[in-house]
Amino acid sequence: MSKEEEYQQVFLAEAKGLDADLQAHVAALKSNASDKKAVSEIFRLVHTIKGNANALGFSDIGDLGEIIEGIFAVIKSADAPLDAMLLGDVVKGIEKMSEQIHAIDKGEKVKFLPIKTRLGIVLKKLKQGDGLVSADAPAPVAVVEEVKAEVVKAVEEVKVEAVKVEVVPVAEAKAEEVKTVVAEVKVAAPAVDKSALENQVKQMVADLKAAFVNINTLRDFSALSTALAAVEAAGKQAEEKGVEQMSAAFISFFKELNAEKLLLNDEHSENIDPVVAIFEEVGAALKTGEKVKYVAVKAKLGVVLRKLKEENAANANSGAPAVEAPKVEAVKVEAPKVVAPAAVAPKASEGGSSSTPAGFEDSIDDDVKEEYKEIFYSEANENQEELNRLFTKLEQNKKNKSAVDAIFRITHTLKGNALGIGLKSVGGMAHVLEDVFGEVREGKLELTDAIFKQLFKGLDTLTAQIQALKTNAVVEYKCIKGVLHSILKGEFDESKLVEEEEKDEDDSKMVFADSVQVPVKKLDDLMNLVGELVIERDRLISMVKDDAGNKKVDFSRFVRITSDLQYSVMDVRLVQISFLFNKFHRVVRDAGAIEKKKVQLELKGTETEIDRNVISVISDSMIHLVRNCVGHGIETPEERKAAGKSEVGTLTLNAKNESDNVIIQIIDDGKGINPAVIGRKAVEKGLISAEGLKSLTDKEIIMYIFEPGFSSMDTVTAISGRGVGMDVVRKSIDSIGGNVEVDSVVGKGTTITLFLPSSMAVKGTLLFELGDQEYAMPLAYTEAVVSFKKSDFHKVSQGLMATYLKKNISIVFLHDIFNAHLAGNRNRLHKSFDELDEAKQLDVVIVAYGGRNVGFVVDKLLQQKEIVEKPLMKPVSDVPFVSGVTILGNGKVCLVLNVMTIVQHVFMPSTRTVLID
Amino acid sequence: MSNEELNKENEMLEALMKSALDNSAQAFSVMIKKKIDHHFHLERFDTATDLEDILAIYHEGQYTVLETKMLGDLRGVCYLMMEKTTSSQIAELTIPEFLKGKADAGMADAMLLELDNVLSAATITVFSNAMKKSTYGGVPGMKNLALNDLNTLLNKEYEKYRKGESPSPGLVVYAEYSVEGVTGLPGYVWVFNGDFCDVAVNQSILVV
Repeated sequence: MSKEEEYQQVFLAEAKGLDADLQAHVAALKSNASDKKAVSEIFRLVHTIKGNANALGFSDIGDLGEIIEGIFAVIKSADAPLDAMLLGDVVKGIEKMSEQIHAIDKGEKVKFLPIKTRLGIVLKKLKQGDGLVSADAPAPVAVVEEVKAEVVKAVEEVKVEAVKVEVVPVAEAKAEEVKTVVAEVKVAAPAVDKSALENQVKQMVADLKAAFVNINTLRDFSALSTALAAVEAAGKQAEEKGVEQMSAAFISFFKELNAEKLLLNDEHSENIDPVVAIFEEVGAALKTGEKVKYVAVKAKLGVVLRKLKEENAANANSGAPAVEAPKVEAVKVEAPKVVAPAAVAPKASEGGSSSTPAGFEDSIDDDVKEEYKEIFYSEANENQEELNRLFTKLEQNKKNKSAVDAIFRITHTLKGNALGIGLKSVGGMAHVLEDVFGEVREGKLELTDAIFKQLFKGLDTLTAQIQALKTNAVVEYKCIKGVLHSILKGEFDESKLVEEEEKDEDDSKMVFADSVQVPVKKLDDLMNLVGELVIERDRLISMVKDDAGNKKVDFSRFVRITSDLQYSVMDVRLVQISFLFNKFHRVVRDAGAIEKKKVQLELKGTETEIDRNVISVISDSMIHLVRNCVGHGIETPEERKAAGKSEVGTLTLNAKNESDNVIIQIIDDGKGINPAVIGRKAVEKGLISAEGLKSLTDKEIIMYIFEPGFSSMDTVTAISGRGVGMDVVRKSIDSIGGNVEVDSVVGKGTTITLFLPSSMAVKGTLLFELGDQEYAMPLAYTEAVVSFKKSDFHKVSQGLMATYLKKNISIVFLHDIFNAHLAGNRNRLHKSFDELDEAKQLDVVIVAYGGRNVGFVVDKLLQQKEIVEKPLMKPVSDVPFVSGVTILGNGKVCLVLNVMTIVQHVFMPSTRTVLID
Repeated sequence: MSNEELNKENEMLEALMKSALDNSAQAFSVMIKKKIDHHFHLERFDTATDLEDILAIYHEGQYTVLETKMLGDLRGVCYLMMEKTTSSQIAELTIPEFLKGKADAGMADAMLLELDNVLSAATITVFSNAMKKSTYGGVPGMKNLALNDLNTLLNKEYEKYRKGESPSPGLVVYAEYSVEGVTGLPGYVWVFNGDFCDVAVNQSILVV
């Protein structure tokens, strides 16, 4: 045995001895809280135990001992006994310390933090002078004192009430009754003797009998309850369990009647009267010492309560008022209201029921119901998204216990919330899902792929039910509920399973809950108005000039405020991209299940913010892209294994901000896109000539997947390869001024990058002049502005070329494109070039679109400016090359160019054919 | 998670809880115009025994239990537990001067519900600000329970909250308020799941 162990053994032996002494003194203190000797001894013993324990490293005992010692130090110096309630706490603390000492032998650790917390606060209280009984007061009997005080107060209030209701005789009579009880309690309080208690019970029984004489009109039990509480306390003090429990039984009986607003009638006398009789017997037996069986009283009162509740329920069902309307006379003669904590007033939250909005009672008006429904909808929507994510996660690893627990928890909450507001079908569906996961949690049910299919169907149904709260659509749920029940009963037959049907396109259409409290339409209108305000501001500023013709700067504050307003409105429209990304857990799961591929989804940069309208526009495109990645990109588990990859493919959705853009990347670690295959298909479909293909880079070739009608998939699968997706994707991204790029490495994977404006409300543009007209070019497509001379351009075939950053790019004079007279002219693109002065400096805007760079020659560059673009209205809504208009500060209309259509026009085979011809 | 890591996490959680409970004690004090102190301790747990330990310090009797759920980004539940006489005393303190003597038991209950609302709001506000999460308190509920029933209720509710998605152990925080002039000690239990702890440890800007 080491020295340390030896010391510990000595400590333990000593501590056990000290503890035995300690317990003896604690017993003495319990019987007499003023026992000064006991206080001193406890202080000394605890001090010794604490010191030894700390010295030997038993810090838990030391910590607790220190607080107990502190408490006794205060009691000692104050020379006053501890309040009875606090004494109980301190005793518990000492008992805990004893437990700690005895646990050392067993090598166990005793949890003591709760009592330490309590004693810590007791000590604090004592130090502030609270919690000690004044020295001259007799040792308190806390409960009886409390009741006394309350009853006295009640009597005072009875008098006040009596004057108010002008039923003086009855009220005063009742007050007198209560007073009698008070007097008896007062007598009984210091030391309850048996005969006093007997009298009290006798009086109580008389009160009860008197009250039950008018059983049909008896509605207020507060006075009776108060009196009963006093009798109960007295019974407790005298250690007469019969009296105590009889009183308690009646108190809780009255409490139930109050809480449920139940009315007694003559029929119930047959059950109540025997109980009163037993009470009487109990009282009488106090003197004789006879044993009275009183255990049946609760049952008898319970029968009355049950009957009353049944009657109430029957009345409610039959449409009759649940509680008989009180007769006028009854109100007049009823006992005046006596207020005291023990006298429980009617309250729905009592009797064990919570006052949370557990159900739609008739008393709740429609507005509140609607509000609860709204809250439920918003929460349920979050829940179902979370469930989708967890289901997907669990499907990947069916042993994932935390996912099972989380699903169980969420379905349980969903069920409770739904049933709470009366949505039985939603509650029922959530209930059966909860039951299934309850079984899984307990290990009674093993999840199989077949069961999972049904669970997903169940979840879909639940989701539809939740959505139907808004649409009021009827959702059929009984069938899937039945299937889930059969799973629960173990009667589920996999062989009878119908193959998973191909999902309807509409199924994956995303539903966006309007969690923005202002409808988006209103925000759009607001944005438009702000846009016009900004335009008007610019116009005003450009108009006002000082005498010297210079612009005045007085508008700086006005400019700042309007700009702030503009950006604030834009900010309101921003939502986190997680809003969109989180919906892809299910998309990826479904696509993977149909394609029989294993795919895991990773989300990055989910806090990136983007305009809600952008999300709405790109969500369908994102589904196409993600499905294509699963369908075309990720290989089957066998193929992946053969290629030395993990069986599970990874699809990553990444979002980040870059200047004014939001960049979304869809990254897969699949087989990549083979440019040779794409090139061959492009030539086959006549999208490009074989010769033209040779001049393109791999990246440019891959961009052909976005051409209309292009599909490289030899077989069309359920989710991809129909060749109608990718061009639609590009169009929708173009429509919001975005851009798309594809980077792919064969065998390694593909990254599709979407460049999206973070806000659709304001466009950064480059203003320039062409002739006497001002145009705006979206900065999203503008790569650079360079200055060239005529000699830098070279005629190549029917077009023009120049070298930009050591790369050959096409040059187009916008004049030549916009000049309608030149349509069909084979040398159209040379027209301006031929007429050009050699020495003239040319402003060229380099535009990047679809993996191609084109230089547009303009007459004069003006400035970079943020504009609010307005769409073109009919009849000029279909003007090619122009996406919209804006009004400049000078009041002039400025056309916003549609870069996509211009570039497509320049490179379109048909255009080229015309040009070449 | 190693003990050292857990201790470190607990230190951070303690700092957060201290700040939250300080705020609640201050709100309590403003409401009843009395000096309020509080003590608290927190424990990470995997079983229900921690709650049993807390209730082991309670005496037999009737308790007023006020329950509020934390909703939104963070989840948790809290219980304000008071022995009947204590709750009556506290209720009396919450009733405005002009209503004293006129208020009935219904009013006392309403004021206790309001008190619970104020305490939970004061606590949740600190969580929300420190962790930059959108979270709010539900509608408070009230029950009157015997100690045994209180035990059953807490264990039942605790089961719902103790496990989140995170593998981190959940958290029970037990606090007691000392109210000037009131003998009984209102107890305040908060139960959070591991997810809360993860967010608190990784994302909170602790108000130490």
